[in-house]
Amino acid sequence: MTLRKKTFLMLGVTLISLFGVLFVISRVIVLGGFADQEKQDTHRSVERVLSALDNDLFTLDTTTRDWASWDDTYDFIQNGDEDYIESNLGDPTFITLRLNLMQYIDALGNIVFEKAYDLNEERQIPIPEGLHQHLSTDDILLNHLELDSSATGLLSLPEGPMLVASLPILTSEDQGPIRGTLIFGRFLNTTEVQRLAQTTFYSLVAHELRDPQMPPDFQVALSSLSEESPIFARTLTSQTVAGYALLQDIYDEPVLVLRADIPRDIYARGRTTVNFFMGALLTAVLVFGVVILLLLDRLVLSRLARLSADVNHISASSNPTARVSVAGRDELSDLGSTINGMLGALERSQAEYKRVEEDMAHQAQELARSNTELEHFAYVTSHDLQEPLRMVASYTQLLARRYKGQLDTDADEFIAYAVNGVTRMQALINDLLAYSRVNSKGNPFGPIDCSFVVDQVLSNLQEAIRDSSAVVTHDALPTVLGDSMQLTQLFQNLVGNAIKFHGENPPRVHLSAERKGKEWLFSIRDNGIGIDPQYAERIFLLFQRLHSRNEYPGTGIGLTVCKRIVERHGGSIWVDSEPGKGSTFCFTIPTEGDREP
Amino acid sequence: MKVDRFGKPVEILLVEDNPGDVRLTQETFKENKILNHLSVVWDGEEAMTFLHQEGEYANAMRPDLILLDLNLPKMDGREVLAEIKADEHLKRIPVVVLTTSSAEQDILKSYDLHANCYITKPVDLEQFITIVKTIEEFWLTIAKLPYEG
Repeated sequence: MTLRKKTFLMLGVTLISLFGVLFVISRVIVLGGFADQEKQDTHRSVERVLSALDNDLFTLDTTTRDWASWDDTYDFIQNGDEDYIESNLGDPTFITLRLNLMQYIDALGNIVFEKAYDLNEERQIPIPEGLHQHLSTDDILLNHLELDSSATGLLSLPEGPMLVASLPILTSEDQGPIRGTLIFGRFLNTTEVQRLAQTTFYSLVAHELRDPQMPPDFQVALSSLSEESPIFARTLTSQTVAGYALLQDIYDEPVLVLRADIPRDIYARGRTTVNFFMGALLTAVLVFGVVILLLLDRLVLSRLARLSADVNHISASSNPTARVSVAGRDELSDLGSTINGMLGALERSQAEYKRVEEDMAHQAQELARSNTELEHFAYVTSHDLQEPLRMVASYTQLLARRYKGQLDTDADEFIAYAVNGVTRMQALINDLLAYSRVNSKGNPFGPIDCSFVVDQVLSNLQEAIRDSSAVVTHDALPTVLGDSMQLTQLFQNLVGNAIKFHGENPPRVHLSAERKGKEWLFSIRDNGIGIDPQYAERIFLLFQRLHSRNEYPGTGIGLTVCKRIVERHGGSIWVDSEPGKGSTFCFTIPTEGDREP
Repeated sequence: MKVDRFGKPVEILLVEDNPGDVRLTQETFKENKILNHLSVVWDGEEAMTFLHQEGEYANAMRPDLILLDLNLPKMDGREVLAEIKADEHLKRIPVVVLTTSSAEQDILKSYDLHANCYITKPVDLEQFITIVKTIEEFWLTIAKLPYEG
């Protein structure tokens, strides 16, 4: 992915995340605040409903008190006067006072008068069944011990919940003794609840605890309601929140759950505000994001891309004079300048390299030419020199043969010297030729088994071995990469020397090989006459001899050829020796595969 | 003294440009046990004329053995060899390359061209004499030469 895309992506992701975080925070904090506020409001609203209900109860209480502290009632409770009933306890009273129940009970607990009335159907109904259960002498409803005692509240009846007020029957001056109890009751049915709702402006729904058809939301609320927390708020929809209140009856037992549906004005407003704010924030983030991206692009990314493209282009085109464009005065332009500097250096070094290459090609050409000339020269030399040599040698010898006995000893001697000289000359020429051919006539390298070569060499030298009673032994010898003919020459020279340069004892020669890192180290040890260390290097030079020709024959070229051969194979040759203690000639050949022919 | 079946001397052709060498060879062959007649030609062209029995060599005898030097003027010894061995009538004649060169390439080339053998002329006279005698002994007594009538 390009830098540009990466940057855009990262910036985009970061800004979006930022926005997301702010969004979440705002929702949590702001709306949370609103939600808390709402909760408080809901509680207060429910409390308002409850206080409305309390109001109702208070009104009922007052009404009941009016009638309970009345001389007429005071008398009636004792004498049960029919007039009283007729003038006060008729249907109109129920309607006017909005009562469903009137109960007159004397001090002994006897019901003097009771009547229940249905306000919807406007007719008398039987006394609610469950009511009498509550009328035992120790029940709150009847248990008025003091003049100012009263019992007001909810009563849970099988027929439904009822608001009741129970007061002691007193004189109009609120004097005793208490002659009985007056109980007024009003059903808290749907109608009542609706009336309550109208006064509070909330829609209300009430359900008794023991209602088997209690809706699930009520049940949920119930699980959170208790005497300690009688109010419970729960969001119903996005528009309304439900406040639940647990209502207790006269005996302080929870009997009713009331639900008020409260519109979520504040919360809704809060949400809208937050949404607008978020919208504005998002727009701002986007706008700034775009601005940042554009600036970034302009200032950095596009220049980087340009630089990168330039460099790619240059590396692909392999044009040594090309340079990158450099604009501005900052790190990028510095980079560009540095790159250009490097390119300049590269161009120069390439030109240098090319020049050197040309030089070397030229030199190689020269070398090849000179080699060919040399080869030709060597060949011609040996060839054309041989012939006159032969003539001189042959005819001198012919002379000797033909005129044997007819010439004097001096003549014989002279002829002998002449022939000797020519023979040596020829040997020298041959050796020189062999030396020059080491590199020019060398064969390509191949794997050569040295054990095999040495066996061949011993076979070649068998006459010399026999004549000197030599014993030649060798360890297992490795296979190396080389020229078989030249290796044969090499071994033959060295073994031949070992045999030739023997002292009084018959020559004992041993060949061994050892692997040293990336090379094979060959050793040819003999028990011959040895070499003075001060000559150890000179013997490898052309025609160097350490002994007279009478002592040991040879042109002195053998070791030079050996050195040349070893060097052609990538190794080196030397000798460890002391006079009278034999010699060990050592040479190295790189291990197979390391050397190209 | 052995002779060939018809009592005629063995015909040998020497192709050699060096008079010194010719004389040497002649002297040595004189000492041979076998009756032989040594003809000498001095260059490659003459050699072919001789072998084709043309011109002044119209009456020349077909040689039983050819001793051929490689480095000859005009026609080179290698060419002569090639021609001889390509010629139907001449290719059976054994050709002994007798030359100063010991170069590997010359040896290979000669055998490539079907020389019967290759001998390097030694410097030493004794050796030279031995070689000539050996040639004589081998090619004239041991090896069977094809009879061409």
